[in-house]
Amino acid sequence: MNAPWSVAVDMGGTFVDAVALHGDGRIAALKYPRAGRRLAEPVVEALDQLCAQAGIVSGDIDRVVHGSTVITNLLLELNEPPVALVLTRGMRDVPVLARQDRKELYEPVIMPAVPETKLFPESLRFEIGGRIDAEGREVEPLELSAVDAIADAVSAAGVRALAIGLLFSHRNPVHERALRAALHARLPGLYVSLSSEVDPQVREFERWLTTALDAYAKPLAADYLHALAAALRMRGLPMLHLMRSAGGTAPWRDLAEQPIGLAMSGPCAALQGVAACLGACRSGAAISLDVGGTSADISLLLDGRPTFAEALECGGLPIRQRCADITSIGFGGGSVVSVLPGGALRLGPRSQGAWPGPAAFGLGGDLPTLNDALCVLDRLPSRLAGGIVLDRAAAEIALSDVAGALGLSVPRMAEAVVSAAAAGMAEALKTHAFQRNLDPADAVLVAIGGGGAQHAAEVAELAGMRRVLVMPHAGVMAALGMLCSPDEGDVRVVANESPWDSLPPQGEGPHSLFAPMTTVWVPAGWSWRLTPDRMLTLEAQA
Amino acid sequence: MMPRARDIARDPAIALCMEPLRLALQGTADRMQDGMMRAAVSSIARESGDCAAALFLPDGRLLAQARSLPLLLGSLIPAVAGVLARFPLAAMSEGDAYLLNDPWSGGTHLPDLALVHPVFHDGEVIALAAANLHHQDVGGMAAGSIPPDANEVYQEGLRLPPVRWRSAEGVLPDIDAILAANSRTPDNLRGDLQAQWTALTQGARELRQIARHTGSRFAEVCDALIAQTECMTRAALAAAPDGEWTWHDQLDGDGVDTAPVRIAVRLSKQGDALVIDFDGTAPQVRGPLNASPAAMLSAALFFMRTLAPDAPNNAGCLVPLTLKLPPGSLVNPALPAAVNARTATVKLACNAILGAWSQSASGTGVAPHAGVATVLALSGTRMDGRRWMFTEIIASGAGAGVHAPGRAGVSTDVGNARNTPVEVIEAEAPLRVECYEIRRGSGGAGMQCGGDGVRRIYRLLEGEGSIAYRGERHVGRARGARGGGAGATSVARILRVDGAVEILPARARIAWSTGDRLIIETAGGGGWGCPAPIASANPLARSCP
Repeated sequence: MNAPWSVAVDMGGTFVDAVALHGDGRIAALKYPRAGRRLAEPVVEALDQLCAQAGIVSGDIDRVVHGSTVITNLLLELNEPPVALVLTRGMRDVPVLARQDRKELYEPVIMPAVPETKLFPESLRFEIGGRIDAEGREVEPLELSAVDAIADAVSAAGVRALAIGLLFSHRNPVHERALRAALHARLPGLYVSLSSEVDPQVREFERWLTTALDAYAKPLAADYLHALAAALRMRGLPMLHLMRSAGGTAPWRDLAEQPIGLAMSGPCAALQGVAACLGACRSGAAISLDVGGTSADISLLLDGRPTFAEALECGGLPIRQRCADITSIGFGGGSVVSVLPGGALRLGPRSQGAWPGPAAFGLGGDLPTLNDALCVLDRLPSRLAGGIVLDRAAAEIALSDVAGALGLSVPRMAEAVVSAAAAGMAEALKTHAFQRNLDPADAVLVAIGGGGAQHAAEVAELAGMRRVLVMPHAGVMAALGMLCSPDEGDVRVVANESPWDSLPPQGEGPHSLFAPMTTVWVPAGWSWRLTPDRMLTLEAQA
Repeated sequence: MMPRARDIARDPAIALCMEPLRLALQGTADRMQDGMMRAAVSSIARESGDCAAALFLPDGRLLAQARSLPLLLGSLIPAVAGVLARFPLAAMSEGDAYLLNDPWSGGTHLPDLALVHPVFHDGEVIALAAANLHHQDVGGMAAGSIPPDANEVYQEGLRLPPVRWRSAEGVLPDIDAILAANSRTPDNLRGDLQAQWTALTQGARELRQIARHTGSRFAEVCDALIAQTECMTRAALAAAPDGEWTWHDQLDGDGVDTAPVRIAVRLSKQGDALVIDFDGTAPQVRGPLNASPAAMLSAALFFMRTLAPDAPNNAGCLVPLTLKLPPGSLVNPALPAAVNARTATVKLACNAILGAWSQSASGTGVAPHAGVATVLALSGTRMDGRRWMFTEIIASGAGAGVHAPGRAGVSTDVGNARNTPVEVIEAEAPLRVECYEIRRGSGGAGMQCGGDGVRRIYRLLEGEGSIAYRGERHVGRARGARGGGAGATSVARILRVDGAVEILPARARIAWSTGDRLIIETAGGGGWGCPAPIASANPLARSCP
């Protein structure tokens, strides 16, 4: 007989979430503070603690799945050492010239499209002769005599990773493979990514940049995943699987080989979790709203299935990889409120994130944030999941300066901030839906993440939507989703203990509902009720 | 003093609605643009995004515009004014839409058709939704309606003063028949007009929902947003010292003659107001490089938007501006001037404004960009007789700012075209792209160097071909700011298979055959600040590589 438990660990920015799912549908879950560490230890500790709490021993565990923001954060921060590139002769500037358009139309000085010096400075971009044509035929042999000089320069620069991008390698990879073999013969420890393997599709800039970013992530991903896998092996646990951005899981070695496939690991898992928990509400269109500390993610599910896209953007860089189709905007609980000259209120893009966090968290942050506005409006409980006790006075002080600049009282200012947050999320949601030929009025809104249910009804109202579902495990949806990938068969999660037990079963807004790991705001004109499948439903009154 | 919100919205209930409404209007305008591009038939709109959408108040003031092509966005303002002058609000009915392209009624060049639709809510016009789109063909002496050798507008296509295109019953059959009869590609014309209509109905529907949410104060909040932009723009102007600054530049020719054509501008800033005066600019020219006032407004709007880029993107930024375009000049030509190639003029005029402003010690300036969007159309016949053709736009260098060098090879000012990937070119045409690289050293020298242009080399692999090249800055250069050096000129040449070299002028049509190479090097942007000698002890000063 198989061991009964599956375990998933999701590493986010603030917490490590761990969930164990029993074959009979039982769930155990916990949030473990990450405390600033980014590599394997907090993951292993969270796992140990969950097992201790739930009385699970290693022999009871059939499967361990992990999702991680490590690669996402690495791509946002770009603090790793640069990589070397070897590109077709004449093309070494292609990754820098990008597609020649610019993002900010009206900024007087035009910023670079790609942070060249951080990723692949000119001195590390090499060229090599040889051509494959558009039909995939060799029209000029690969200039292997150039390899020695490149290997010498790469080794002298102390570079650990290198990306190879040759024209039309997606039609015929023979030159890229021969080049890798020649480089490995000289430098066996070098991490090498081939554009014909990472993203075998036409259009060289996108393919080469994606490949370069894969190489950029490789040394750290390999160190991290080897350490984690070794720690699990020591505990006698089954082989580690990882959640992919494109849905489903894969053995960890596959993703150590191609870490770019982890770029949206967590958000994709959360969507799988929603799909598994939708239950009777599967048919038709649903839009998920996942609000965390730094961002809000919006995505579409059709008939209970997540939707996918062929590209994503991370830190402003286009990455061409199949991935859960998610629009992410910089609106989260830690988004900073500011007032521009002229009295224009703005929320974000700056975020206090989890550290130093909103003023109300008392962790040292003193800038006004979205969470401070919610706190002032009594929309947050005095004590949050994870044990943070809110300091309302600190939130009021933080908001008083910006309120003064707008000539508003602090509570009015807080209202303005929360309405701006709802408007920003609603606009992103409408754009996401209309671009996919869906009128949001025809969809139900699903709230997940720590803050999704806080804003969902107001967002729905602005987007012309009438119904919001709050998921019972909204706070650990990503970890749960890792155990619900399509390769697990058709997993349906049945909540054994309802997190809503302490709430009145129905009522009318305006009202705040505080449940473990989820806080819900029911605005005026909306009502709530608990459904038999343990979903919390919010509805706009006629 | 920093202006405060309470000076704009004394009523807290209005202050509360402003940011949500700004976000909603911006989102709506962007979705109009998305809808139009998705529905468009011809690739110039669908792929290259040569179209623009915006929302206006009933009095014609710009309320929000999509984040799309500045070249077209600014021109929608005069187009809406042109429609309102001919069709007063009282004459409009629900379901109407009005069309125009006449450069003397608010249009730019004839292929750009502007469509305007009144948005009714509770029986009243609360806004106008507008969109323009570069259509593939509206008649005239050459396919595509942009004849390089035109010398009057009558050769350029069908000219439409403001006319009613549609009523609640549908498209008016008479106007539809005229349009179809005057286009070489009537199906494309009809399809792309429908794409514009899609954008307008999407905008109208969303705007009604927004107005319902905002309630009776909708108009007041709109006014407050425009006042806020005006306030933020005036604050940026007031922060700069008063003064008068001039700049001049030149086009390499007018498209027919090769004598340089002068563009001159004077900026006068007093307090929080600005005058931009193009007095001293050459008289209108024989060739098609004349720019109508609607086209020139795009250049002025672009500059005014850069003063407070964080402000809501509405008409408020134009309130502090007086724009003077001398009648009968290159930038305000009299009928029947040819106008189809106005883009080059608008781009250099825009950079002349940037150049003048860079002298102002405002601290916010940028040296002129090279401002050249080279248009290259290559075509030919393969050995087996199959025809091929493609067109691409090649960018040049950006100007440097006080804190940062100029970016290499990037679309600047009123344009934002993408490049064509080498793998797309080689799959479509018998060409080998041997090089696409930064043309190092072509940006102007300076404390901060101007952005470099790019170099592209094409080799024709089989058969015969023809090259249609439309460049700029083969003679004139993008001058640097505050002592910075000028960018290099553009150079285009053919290296024949027998070793002979032929230099191309700024506008050329020329044949080439198997084995010949075409080498295009685009111009560099202007540098910022005096380049110090290489031995300087100041680590910030360097000459450009």
